[in-house]
Parts: sequence; C-alpha cells; structure tokens
Amino acid sequence: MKEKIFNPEFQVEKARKIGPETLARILKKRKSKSVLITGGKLLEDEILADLIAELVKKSGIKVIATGGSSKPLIERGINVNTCLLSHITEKLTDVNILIFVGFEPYLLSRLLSNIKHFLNVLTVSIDFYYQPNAKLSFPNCDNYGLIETLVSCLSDC
Amino acid sequence: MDINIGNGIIIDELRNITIKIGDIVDEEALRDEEWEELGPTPKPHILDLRYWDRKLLSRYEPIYMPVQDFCNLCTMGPCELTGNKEGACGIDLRTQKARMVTIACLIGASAHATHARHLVHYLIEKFGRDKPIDLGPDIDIEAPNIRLVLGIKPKTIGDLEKVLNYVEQELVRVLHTIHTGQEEDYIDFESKALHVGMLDHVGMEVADIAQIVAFNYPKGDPDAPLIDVGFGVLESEKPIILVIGHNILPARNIDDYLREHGLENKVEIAGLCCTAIDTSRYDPRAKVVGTLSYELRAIRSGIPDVVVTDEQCIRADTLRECAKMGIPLIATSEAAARGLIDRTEDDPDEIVRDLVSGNVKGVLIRDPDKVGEVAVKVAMNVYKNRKSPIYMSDEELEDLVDRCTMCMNCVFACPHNLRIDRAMELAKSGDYSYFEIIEDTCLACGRCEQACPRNIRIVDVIMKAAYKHIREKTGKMRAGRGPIKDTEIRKVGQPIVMGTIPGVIAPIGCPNYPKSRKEVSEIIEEFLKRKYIVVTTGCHAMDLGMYRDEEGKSLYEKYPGVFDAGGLVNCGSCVSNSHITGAAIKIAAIFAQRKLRGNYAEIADYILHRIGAVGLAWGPYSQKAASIATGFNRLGIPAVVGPHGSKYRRGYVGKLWKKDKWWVYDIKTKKKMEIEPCPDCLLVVAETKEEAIVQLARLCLRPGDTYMGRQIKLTHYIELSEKYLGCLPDDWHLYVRTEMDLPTKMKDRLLKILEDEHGWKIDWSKKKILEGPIRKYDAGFNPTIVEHVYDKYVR
Ligand code: SF4
Ligand code: SF4
Ligand code: SF4
Repeated sequence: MKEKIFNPEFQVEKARKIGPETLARILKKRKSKSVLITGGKLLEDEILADLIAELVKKSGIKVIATGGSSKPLIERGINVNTCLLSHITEKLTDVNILIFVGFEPYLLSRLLSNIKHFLNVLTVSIDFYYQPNAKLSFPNCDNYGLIETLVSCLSDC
Repeated sequence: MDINIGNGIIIDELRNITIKIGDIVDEEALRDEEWEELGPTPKPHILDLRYWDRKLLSRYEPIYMPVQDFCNLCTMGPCELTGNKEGACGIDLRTQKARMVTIACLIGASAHATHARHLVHYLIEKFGRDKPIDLGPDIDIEAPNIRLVLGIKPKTIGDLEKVLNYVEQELVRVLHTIHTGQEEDYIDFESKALHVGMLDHVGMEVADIAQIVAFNYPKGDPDAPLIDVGFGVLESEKPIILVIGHNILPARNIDDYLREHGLENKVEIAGLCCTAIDTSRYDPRAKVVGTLSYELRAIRSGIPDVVVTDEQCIRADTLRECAKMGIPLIATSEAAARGLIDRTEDDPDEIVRDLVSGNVKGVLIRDPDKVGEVAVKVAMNVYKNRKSPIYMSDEELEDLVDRCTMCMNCVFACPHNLRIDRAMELAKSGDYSYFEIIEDTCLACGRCEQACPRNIRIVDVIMKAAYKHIREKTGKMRAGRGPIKDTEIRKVGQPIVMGTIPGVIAPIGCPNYPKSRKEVSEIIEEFLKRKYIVVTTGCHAMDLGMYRDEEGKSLYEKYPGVFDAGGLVNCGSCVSNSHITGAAIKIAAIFAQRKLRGNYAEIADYILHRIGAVGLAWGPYSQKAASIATGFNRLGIPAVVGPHGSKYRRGYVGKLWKKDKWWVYDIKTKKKMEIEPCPDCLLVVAETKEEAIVQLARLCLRPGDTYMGRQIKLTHYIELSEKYLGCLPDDWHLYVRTEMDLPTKMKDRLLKILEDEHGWKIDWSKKKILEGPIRKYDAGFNPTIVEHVYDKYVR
C-alpha cells in the first residue's frame, strides 16, 4: 500500500516502522509492562474484533477498552478494563508500553501526539495506517495481514 | 487635554484619567436604576475572573494533543518544540498550544461579535436606537449573559451597541496577548481563552436578541412552526435562490421583496447553514437544505438559479464552483467579497442584466436592501433557461467510474479516509450501493478530487450514485424559537437542580461527524426517551430533523418543543447558543434567587455544582464551535466533542486519583470537604456514539443532586453503560453517597459489588451502607469553591 501518511501532519520526529515479528519479540520480553488499548473500530469491524480477541487470548496482554470496544471484546470472552477516553490515564499505572489498535486514525494521531510530547512511555500503533506520532508503528496496510502475522507470532509467546 | 466631540468628550489629564462623558451619562442612567445589587465583576477585564479560571483549571487540567511539533508564528522560528522544548522566544510547546487555542477562540468570538455588530448597526439605521427589547410577557430576564457579565439590563437596541463596545475592546485586548513574548504560563493563556469564550456568549446574545426583536422571530415559542429540511427541498418547480452563511440580512430582504411584489409563491428561498435557520425563523416558508456539507452538493446539482453568500462557513471556492455551473453569485459581506467588483451603487436592472447574460460571474452588493431586488430578478430570469441532468448522465457516471485505477490517493486525502476506491471497484461491476454508505459520512469537502490523478469528480459521482438515497433524507425541523421562557424555567428549575430531570443535553455545532449524520439523531433520541431535556442549535438542529422513523416522523414531530422533560428545543442558529447558557443562568436566578448582576463566578460555581447540563458538539470543525464550548466551560458546563474535536488540540480533564482536587466548602456545615469527582471533565473527546452517550449521561451528575436525583442519574448512567459498553462503568461507586442513591432495581446487586470489590461495609439487615462513600449524603449540602461566595452566605 502507499507510502503516504494519512492526513499529513508536520512532525519533526516520526515513528520507526516495524513489522509484527519485532513487536512479538518485544512483547515476549515485556508483556507484564505492556497494555493493549483498543478503540471504537472494533464495534464496526467484526473481523478486527475477532483478531484482537485472539491476540489477547494468545498473548495474555492486559486490555484497556475505550470507545465502546469493551462490548465486542466482552462478548468474545475477553476480560477487559472498560474505560472512557477521558479516564485513560487513570489506567496506565505499572505499564510503559502502550499498544494501540482500532482507532479513527486522526484521533489516534492526537492521542499519540499527547503521549509523545508529554509522557515518557513507548507507544506502538498496530492500526491499518502508519502513525507518525507513535514511537513504533506498523506501516500502511489495508488488510488484516500484519495483525494476523502478529497473532501467529504470538502463538509461542 | 484631548477633546473628542464625536462620541462624547474625552478629557485626558495629567493623572492619566480618561473620561468619556457620552458614556458616563449612559452608565449613570443605568446605574441609577438599582435593579439589583451589583456583584464583584461587572464588565470584567482579562484578569478579573482569573481567580475563577485558576480554580477550574486546577481541577480540570488542560491536556494538549499538538497537530504540529513546531511553531512558526514569528520570524525567529520556525521553532521545533517536540517533547515540550522551548522556542527562540522561550515559549514551551504546552504554552504555545494554549496560545493556539486562544487564537481559535478569538476567531470564533470575533465572528459572532462582528455578526452582531452588523446586525445592530443595520437595525439602528432602520428602526432607531430606541427600538425596545421586548421578548414577550413570559420573558423578564431578557439577556441573562449580558446581565451576568456586564451588569446591565439592555432596554433598547441602542443599549446593545454599548455591550458590543465592551466585547470588542476585550477581544482586542486578548488578541494583543498573543504577540510573541507575552505569557509564559499555559494556564494564563487558558484563562484568556475562557475569557473569550464568555465574551462569545455575550456577543451571540446581542446578535440573537437584536434579530428576534427587530424581525419578530418566535419569542420562546415551543410550538414554533415546522420547517421543511433536507436536500430534497431543492427539487422544486419554481426558481430557487440559494442563500448561504450566517447573517440573515440579505436573505431577509429577498424575502421582503418577494412578499412586497406578490412573488412569495412563485420563487423559493432555500438556505444552507445558519442563514437558512434564521430565514425560516423569519418566514416559515423558507426551506432549509442543510449544513456546510451540502454546499458543494447544492451548487454542483445546478439547481439553484442564483446563489447569495453572506458570512462564515462558506466555501472559499464558491465563485469558481458557481461559475462552472453557470450560476450567478451575489456576495454581500465585507468578510467574503470573493474578488468581485463592488456594484452597490449601480442600477439594479443593470446588475441583473450583467448577471443573467453571464457578462459577469458574480457581483458584490453591500446593501442588503438592494440584494433583495437583484436576487429575485436574476432567479426569475435564469430559471427560464434551466436545463441539463442533475450532476451527470448515467453514461458519464459509468465513464468516470471506469477511469478509476484504485490508487487510493483519494482515501489518504479524505478526512474520514472513506474507501472511495472500494466503492469504485464495486461500481465497475454495476453495484453502486457502497456510495450510499459513503454519502452518509462524506462532508463533500472535495479533498479527494484535489488528490485524484485521474481527475474524477468524486463528489458528483457519490451524489449521482446515491441521489435517490439523499433525496429521501428530507424531514421537518422546528423553527428556532430563541430563548427559554422564564415561565418554563420556573417549572423545571427545581427538578433540574434536584436531579429528578436527569439532565439537559445540548447538541450544538457543526457537521464534521465521524460517521453517518444519523448518529446525532440516535444519540439524542436515547436521551429524549429517557426524559432528559434536549436543547439544540445550528447544524445539529438541522440534522436532527433529517431522519424519519418508520412512520415517517422526524424527532421534532415526535417530541414536543418545550423546555421540559422529554422536550426537544431548537433555539435557532449558532448565535442562539447564548440561550443555552442563558437558560442555565436563569435557573440560578429564578429558582435559586441568585443575583446575576456582574456576579459571574458565583453563578458559574452554582451551575458547575448543581445544574446537570452538558454540551455535545458531535461534528465540531469551526473556530466558533471552539469558542462556544469554551464559553460553556467557563460557566461550569462540560462539553463532549466528537473525535474530530481532538484537533482543537486540547481537553479539560480532571484526574480521579488526585483526591486533593475534589473539594468544596460546604456553606451549611462550614467545612471544607472532599466530594465525589463530578463532573470530572469540562471538555472531552468521545470516539464513538456509544462512548458519547455514556459520557453525556455521566457528565450530568452534580454534587448538588438530591438522593432522588442521583438515583435517577445513576440509573441512566449504569443502564447506558451496560447497553453500550457491555458492562458496569468503572467509576459508578464514586458517586454513591448513601444506599438511597442506588438505582432501586439494581440495589442488591450493586450493594454486593460495593462490599466484594470495593471493601465497603454493608448492613444487610437494613440494606444500609455503613462505611465506604467519599462523603455522606446531606440534604442541606451547599457547595461552593469560591471564597467570597462562601463568606457571603455562611452565617
Ligand atoms: S513565537 Fe516563539 S516559538 Fe513561535 S516561531 Fe516565534 S520564537 Fe519560535
Ligand atoms: S484517487 Fe481517483 S483514481 Fe485513485 S482511487 Fe481515488 S478516485 Fe480512483
Ligand atoms: S468529499 Fe467526501 S469522500 Fe471526498 S475527501 Fe471529502 S469527505 Fe472524503
């Protein structure tokens, strides 16, 4: 897919692009310090919700579910920490790797920008569009391929 | 000594005293009549309410989400500010972003204040300074924002000029502080933004009061007429004049001209944005096409016979687009002259000839009275020549679809990243249905067309493919009724403050929605069914009318227009937002008997702690929406914005865990005490409609709720959370003060959770909470965070 940046912005520091294998390696080492933050796209995208549920089951990563994404995950038997966007910082004690998935790209860009400038944690985006404001981001990919690979890499997590 | 006779005499003595005699006389006259005890801050200057802002901002911390990592406001830059670095002038990123927010609010408030100035200036010329402000027998508090902020009671349109003098002076003062090398504390910039937001509501109130009294709009009428709304209104067998913008003056004169010449049934006026809303307040026959997102669509349809633009939120390619379609354009505002020649002084028939023949693409006419005649004559002449299919022929549609290479440039350019490539791919095999889904979210901004290497007219393709679908979205909107009546406030003041009416939800602002326009209706109906009061304005008010249920009824036909439980109140256009803050202020004045005059902090403090009102800007885009919301916030009213609202770059979010932030003085017990954190945000983004619904219900909670009110509010909050988030909310227990606060139907279950998960002590024999809540419930609880308010009431 295109090497373009969705809704081009003007960042001086941009995310390093990584593949699912790299993220799987990070997770293997630092799962207890990581959290997966899910957004509202899970409400409208069944395939994504299925994949994320599988990812959580395989990795055992903690989940903070925003934007109503708790509902599809709970329905899939996942134990989540339900949260409105306004409460997100309340939930980030004891973690320093934040992995984001399932957000409106322009909204995620704003959340990541806040963290990049004002907090000292590692942010990773595994969404479909490259997120320059993250520290690490999957490249653009308009299908579920990268997340599927991540799930399979995590099998032996 | 300096003498200025034009506006009174100014004597400038050595002691630096400037006396403006003209104004002194007026102010004395206003002061003489001691209608109410004067509060501490009449006509506040920038720093006068800073103490209140600092209290708010210490609880509701500004959080920033920069769109750029740098600043380039002056030539010492651009300065890179990543990670909160400082620029060459010493400003850090956080303070720079607060400065940007202040600029956005200034733009918004200036737009409303200047709109008000245009109206007042014109109305004084037409009706004289002494035209009384009379809003009918049920409205005594004619201008709650003006009374509260300036400490005066405007009696005539002439008095409104003085109000604007103050607003404009303050706006320029704040603008001055934006210059490089001023504030270094972001909280000080935020305080200025809040000041501007407050001024904005004053300016809006001036504009709306002026037009209501001068043009005899509905004056708080809950049964204001139902207006046709939606794209389908354009389909007419008559010539159509399309008016676009926010200032009624040209459109009103078109309407007058039609009536004076017996043409009101021969020519149609259809409008976009707030001009449409205000025209329909003036004449219910006027049609409302829709919001900003219909501008390009309406013009490209080729249906309008003439387009008349005034000011604000009008596309900057309107002349080019009209010219492509052969539609003559009449610009009427100093704010948007569109490169056109000023023909204000020319003979109207000459102008008509030039426009109809196509000699000129458009003209600028600054005299609204002349616009009436020219627009009508042009429309009637152009209509005779109307032809050609809407948007394009079927063959052309196929041809354009075939041209697409699915390169996705459009998708990356689209603010919603709509998958136009997918719709095109499906259309190649004859299935056009995906365009209907796209149409529902598409803003018709045209960014996709700018990016398309194959020059496909994507907006037109979407419209052509989804035309049947969009025509069906035509419904009814209740005409903007203006203010809430004092008599209504008398009835609902108490239940709102007690909490037995669970809240007031105010959907306002622009159409930059994250998804389907229908979501606004879905969010709002959830609250109407639950007997919240809904008060709306502007683009949201229009979109709430566009969708009908299975019986063909829009929300305005299903719910009454009263300011009471389960009522759907359309106040009117953008400037009518002042009636929403006005209603909250009136509750404090009428129900709680608090004095308004120059008493801002006390009233805002009252509203923050007792009135469960929340704004919803589901599709915010404009700077006006930023200043309106900021004005809500200074008055203690939280606002929820849709995901695009994150691009305003800042929120005001309290932290639950910072226990030292959640305190009040209780006037009854004379103690400073810890309280439950509600409301815990003043400005917050929600990503989805599900999240917005839960957030809105939550932000209606107030420390002043009675146990009955808290029980009702918690019932809705918990039910909505279970319905939309699939589980109990994570913070509900914080709001329980006594077992009586618990929703009756869920009481046992919730008590059990309090015991098991939160360690509370429960006496199960009496089903009583023995230990656990942040504070105990006290029926006489009387909270404030303002010292002078505490001193005033404590005995
Ligand atoms: S205003 Fe300050 S931060 Fe901005 S460009 Fe100028 S010196 Fe740099
Ligand atoms: S940019 Fe044009 S050619 Fe490319 S996918 Fe979009 S419509 Fe098709
Ligand atoms: S016109 Fe519609 S599809 Fe095109 S970029 Fe704008 S919102 Fe997206």
